[in-house]
Amino acid sequence: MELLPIIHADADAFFAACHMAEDSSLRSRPIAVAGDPGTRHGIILAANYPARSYGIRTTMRVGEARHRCPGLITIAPQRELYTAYSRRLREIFDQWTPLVEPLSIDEAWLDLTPQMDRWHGDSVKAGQALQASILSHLGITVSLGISINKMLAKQVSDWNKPGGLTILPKDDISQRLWPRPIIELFGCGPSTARRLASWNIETIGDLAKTPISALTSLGIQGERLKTRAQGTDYSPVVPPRITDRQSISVERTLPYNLAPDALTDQSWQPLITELLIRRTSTGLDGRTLVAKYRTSDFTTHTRQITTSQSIHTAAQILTLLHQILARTPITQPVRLIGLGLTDLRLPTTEQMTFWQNV
Amino acid sequence: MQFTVDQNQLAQALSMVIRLVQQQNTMAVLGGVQLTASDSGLDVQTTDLFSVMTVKVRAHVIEPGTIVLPAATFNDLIHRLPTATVDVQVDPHSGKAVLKYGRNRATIHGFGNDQLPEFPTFGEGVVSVTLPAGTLTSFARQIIFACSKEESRPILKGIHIELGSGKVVLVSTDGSRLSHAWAALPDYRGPEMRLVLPAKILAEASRLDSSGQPIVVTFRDGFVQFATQDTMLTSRVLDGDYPDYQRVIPQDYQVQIRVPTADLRGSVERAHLIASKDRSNAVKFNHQIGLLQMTASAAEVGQAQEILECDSQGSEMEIMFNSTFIIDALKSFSGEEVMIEFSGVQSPARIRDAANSQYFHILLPLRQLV
Repeated sequence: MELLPIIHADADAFFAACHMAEDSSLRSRPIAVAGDPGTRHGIILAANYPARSYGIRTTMRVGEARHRCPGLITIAPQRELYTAYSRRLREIFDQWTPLVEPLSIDEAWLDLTPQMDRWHGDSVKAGQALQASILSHLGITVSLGISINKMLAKQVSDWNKPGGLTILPKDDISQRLWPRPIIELFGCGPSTARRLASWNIETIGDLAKTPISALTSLGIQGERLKTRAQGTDYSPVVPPRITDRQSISVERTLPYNLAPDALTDQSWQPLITELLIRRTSTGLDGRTLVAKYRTSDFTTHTRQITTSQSIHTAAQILTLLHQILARTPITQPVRLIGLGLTDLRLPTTEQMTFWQNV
Repeated sequence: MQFTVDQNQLAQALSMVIRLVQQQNTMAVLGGVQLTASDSGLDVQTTDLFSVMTVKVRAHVIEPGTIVLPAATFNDLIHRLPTATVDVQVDPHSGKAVLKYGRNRATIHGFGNDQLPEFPTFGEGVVSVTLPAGTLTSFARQIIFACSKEESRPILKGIHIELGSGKVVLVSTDGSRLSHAWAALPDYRGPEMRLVLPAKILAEASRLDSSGQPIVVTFRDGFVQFATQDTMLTSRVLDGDYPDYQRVIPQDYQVQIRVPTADLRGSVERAHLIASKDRSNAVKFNHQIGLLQMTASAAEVGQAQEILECDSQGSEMEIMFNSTFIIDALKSFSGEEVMIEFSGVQSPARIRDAANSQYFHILLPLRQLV
């Protein structure tokens, strides 16, 4: 029997599912996670399946969603809740295999190769057990794609949502994957799809059969997409190492545009706090602070400053921020501000200090 | 206003005061140097609002008066004059100063009737001590480097000064190292005083030593004044509580190492070349009786290993320091030998000039994380 050791797990309507897991009375009712229209976040971020039956989709405006479904319950996003569920999801994945590569907050690849004996070579049984475990522990459902490699598993995991399990053996590629439109290929965005269409490449199969010489104008991406379309992209499932992280950043759209002089320390304070919490949780040492702001004309500016010391206090961040802003003052009203730490490394030593809070 | 003055003396006075002048000022007049001619001569003064410096220059005053001139321009011009004396005449209506030197002349526009802000003058009932010439210069070299450079800890940018019966103690720290120096004041029997002076002011005050005269230091609520016969620097002190530094100085040491200063400096500087390629500047010190080994490594750069024979006693120990801390401390020593004392792998160490017990440095080690 052919081994299909790779699983792509994708939580169904994740944000909405977290809220339903917390309050089961929401399960049968149409709910959507959406920002407060008053603060310009008036867009649907996630909708549960009852809501989707009304035609409500992610990125739809709240006003339109309400029009389609007057009984729609909208919930403000709660990042901490999603992060907590994401972490617990990850903990369950880790019980199945040490080779877990997260793709986003609610998706991950699992390589069961080291565990195949435990499941007698049957990754479908392993997948079903995984789904059952997640449902009973977290109260949310995940859809799985199971195949010979990462890309194929990802390709099919959403074919039977919600709660589905799709298997794609190697022999099925030409019959089931190739007729699909090219836009469904992982990594192919709308503009690439349009370019391919102009060369009469409409389906994944068309791309798989196109000689690489015809794709040279797409560069390395062309090669990568063609390999994926053929089903021969065998990139390994790589658990992230903490040191792979290059930066930590946080940002916030302001409730209304702020004139430069109305942008005070207080405006930055919540971002500073959040940044420091994120830094602490990674344990990384950063010495470059990045300040980002988007002006009312939608131009995004980033400025950075590097110090000799590890940045780990709010006072340090404020001082550096003042230095950045003194060097290049903001001259236009601002609609978004952000902060980040870059050039992160896992510290090997730490300078001891005499006093904790001087 | 009109006076004649020696070019060299005026140039020297300007060199002293010009350092208080900030490049960018909220008040334009702070970019100026104030000249006051009176029966007692010429006063040359600048201020940055936090401190004020005045230098007296002998002058032949024909007509008394006061004017503020742009400091940088006036300073540059006086330094370049070809003659031994210069005559300065100010027209009070136009606010222009005409400088005559030999057959030549220059005109500089002043700040009109603006004068530098007044600083409180020192009256009676203050505490003062006299420091022998050179004392402040030694203090500056021994302890300024250990001050914090970070805006986030303003009090640590200062020098803690403790005046007590018979001696004065100065302390600086950036939170991870501490420098401690003292000088005897055999004649002082006044009250005990504690204050924090910006490191920059100590550096400026030490320049008064160039006169070779003793410096009179006067303390008054919130202010300190340093004065020689001709020069006076008055500064505010820093607000805030200085941390309790006494308890971080170890009382006992487990290891004592005596080693030639120049040899140790050479070794640490070579190890630092490698260590500085890594963020922590970590140099590992391994002590065995009679031997001190220093190692440093940086990924993708290389390793350094230095071995010094030494006169030592106590236990074997391996302890890691930021190499710049050691180098800074060594630079402050003038004696042939240095004493290093360890009180534990994760405890403060003391490093001092074996020939001078009037100052020492306390250094905290680096802690290994992985």
